[in-house]
Amino acid sequence: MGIPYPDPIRFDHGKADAAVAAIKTVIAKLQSQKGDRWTRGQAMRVNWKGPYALHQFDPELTRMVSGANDLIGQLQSLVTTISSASARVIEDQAAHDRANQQWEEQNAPDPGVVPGL
Amino acid sequence: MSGDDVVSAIPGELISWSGWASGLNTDLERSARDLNQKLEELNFSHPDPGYLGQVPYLGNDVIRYAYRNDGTDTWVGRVGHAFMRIATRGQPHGVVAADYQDFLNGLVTTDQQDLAGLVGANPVTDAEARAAAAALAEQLKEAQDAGDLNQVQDLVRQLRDHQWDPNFTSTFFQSLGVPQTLAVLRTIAKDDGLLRIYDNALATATNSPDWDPAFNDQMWPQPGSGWQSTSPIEALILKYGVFSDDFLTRAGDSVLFGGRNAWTRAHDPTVDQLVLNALARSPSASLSFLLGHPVDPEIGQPSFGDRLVLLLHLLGQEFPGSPDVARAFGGLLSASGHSPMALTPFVGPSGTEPAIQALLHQLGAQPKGLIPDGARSGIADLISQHIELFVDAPLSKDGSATWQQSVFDLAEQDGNDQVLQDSIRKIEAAALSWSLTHMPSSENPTDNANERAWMEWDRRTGTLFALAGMPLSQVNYDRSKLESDRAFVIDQAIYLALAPGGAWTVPAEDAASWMVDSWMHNGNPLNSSDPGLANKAKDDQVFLNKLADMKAALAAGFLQAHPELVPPGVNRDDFLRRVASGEDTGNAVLSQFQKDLNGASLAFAEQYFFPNK
Repeated sequence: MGIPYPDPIRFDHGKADAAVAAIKTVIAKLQSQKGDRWTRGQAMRVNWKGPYALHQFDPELTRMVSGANDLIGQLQSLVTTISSASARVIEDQAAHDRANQQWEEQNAPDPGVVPGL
Repeated sequence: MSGDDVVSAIPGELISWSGWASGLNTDLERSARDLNQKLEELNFSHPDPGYLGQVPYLGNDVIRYAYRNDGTDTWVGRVGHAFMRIATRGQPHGVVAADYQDFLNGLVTTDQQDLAGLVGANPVTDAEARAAAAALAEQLKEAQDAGDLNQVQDLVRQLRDHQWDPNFTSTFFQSLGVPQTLAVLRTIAKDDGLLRIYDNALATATNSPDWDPAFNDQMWPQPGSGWQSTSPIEALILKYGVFSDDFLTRAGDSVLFGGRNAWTRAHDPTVDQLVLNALARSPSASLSFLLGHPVDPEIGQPSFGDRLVLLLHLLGQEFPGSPDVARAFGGLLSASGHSPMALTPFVGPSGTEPAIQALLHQLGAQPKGLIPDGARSGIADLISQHIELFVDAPLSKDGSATWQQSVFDLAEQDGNDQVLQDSIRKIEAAALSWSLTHMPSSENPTDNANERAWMEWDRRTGTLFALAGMPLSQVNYDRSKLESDRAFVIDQAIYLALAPGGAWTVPAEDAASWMVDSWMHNGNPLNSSDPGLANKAKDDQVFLNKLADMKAALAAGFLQAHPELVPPGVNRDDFLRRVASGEDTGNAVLSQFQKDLNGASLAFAEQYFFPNK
């Protein structure tokens, strides 16, 4: 019987971190854009009157905002998934490392008689 | 305008929205693509599934969202421009220019009907199509990157319903990009059904108004330091579909005129054939390509020579061993005749003439050995499409063949001077068709007003039949082929006359044969004061046969169109023979027609016996 966890857990933290950073960039842009679109759209509607504004643009503006909210929700959920996985890997890997170290200590070869002592 | 219909806006606000929002969409799309890349790298690192399974490519949803928004934002801009046009309608240009900012930022009031007429398409439908196309492209990229071939095929199959939609396909391929477009092509190349869908979709995209020509440029590296050769698999992108002229021209130059420092002579016949066939599916591209000038990598500028002549030299060594390439080249020549620009004036080496005539002129100036035999049928087809360009062909002035005579020769004889019967028939049918459809409307001999028109018709008819018959020679054209041609021409005449009057086919063939026998034994067929011409006429069997065919076919076509000129109770066979051969029928109208046939015969002889017969 050998070391209990000979292989590290397969998880590339660098790639996970890069993915999370990219998700957060997109979330930030969606947050910013939905607010800007809403504000600027409302201002534009002060002078823009008629069926196009009422029946086409208004529903589209609402969809833009709600669509951004939906996407932000999904992206945040994905951040949670990846970050949680990353945290669990770190935690478990630390436990594995401790177990391995303990095993190594227990199974270290007897040094025998040390000359000079 | 009623109150409910009143609409208003400040044009500048809507136009400005469009530009501003377009920047947001581009920025968001770029970030979403980067996100997909990072998610793909994470998935490809294969995390322990006990901790993290495959993560979804949420960038796709963001890209779809950005494209959907972009459709709406573009439409808002169109509404803004429509308001602007309404604001400036009827204003002098100088006033609009001087007060542009005032118009742009002023409140415009109009009615909805007026506005709708200027705005056009439904923004939502368009935007949804573009969003779906971008999402499909992303899915395809992921499947391709993951090496999931079944998924790639399934996704390409989804293009079937969109392959003719310019909005969808242009967004799809521009989202996919050139490297992935070619990668997917390599994956599906062996499935001809999928290839057809894929090629057609790209062809549709290249013709879309919002297609970015940079895609064409990237796909087909032009001659020069950045040039790369095209593999046979990559060339399959051209197998189906009618691509835009720009796409085809770049493809043609990249494949046929490729090279980094000089035009390469190393050609792959499969690739050459694919690009020539693709060009031929677009008549407008065919003509402009052949008459245009490729970049010469040696000088880094457009070449002096046009592509037609350069191709004959560059592919000259390839043609003999690759008859399919030669035929494809002939197909390209034939297609160019159908170009909508064929008859527009073109300034070429011989001055200003119709574009297609410039092409024919160039062909006629080439040595016969340079033209591949496989292309001759295409040249015959080109001549037959534009036979009217030859009706006034001049006689040779110096004893050498005119370009018109040469181009007929190129079409009707192969490199070993063997006659190509299919080409002859094609051209004779065209000559006959021109002649029958251009007969002056009145045949009344008492009406002098028609005399000039008839004389012109005589000369032109004779010229066309002579040009068609000139390349033949009694050395290599036997009696059975002449008789076979005769049956064909007579059939064509009866078919083209398209008038009641009964079948003249057999009588006309008999009449032509009778005339040939009669002339050979008893004299010459010309009422000509030129004794040299008359003596030559007696000696040339091909001439006699072709002249008899012309006279019998035109006489049959004339009588078929005018059955009232045939006296009741008369023997029709004999009557037709008499009309065709010029015997008196006692009918003044027919006498006039016979005089015209004789005029056509003289024009035939003058063109035919000049210069070398």
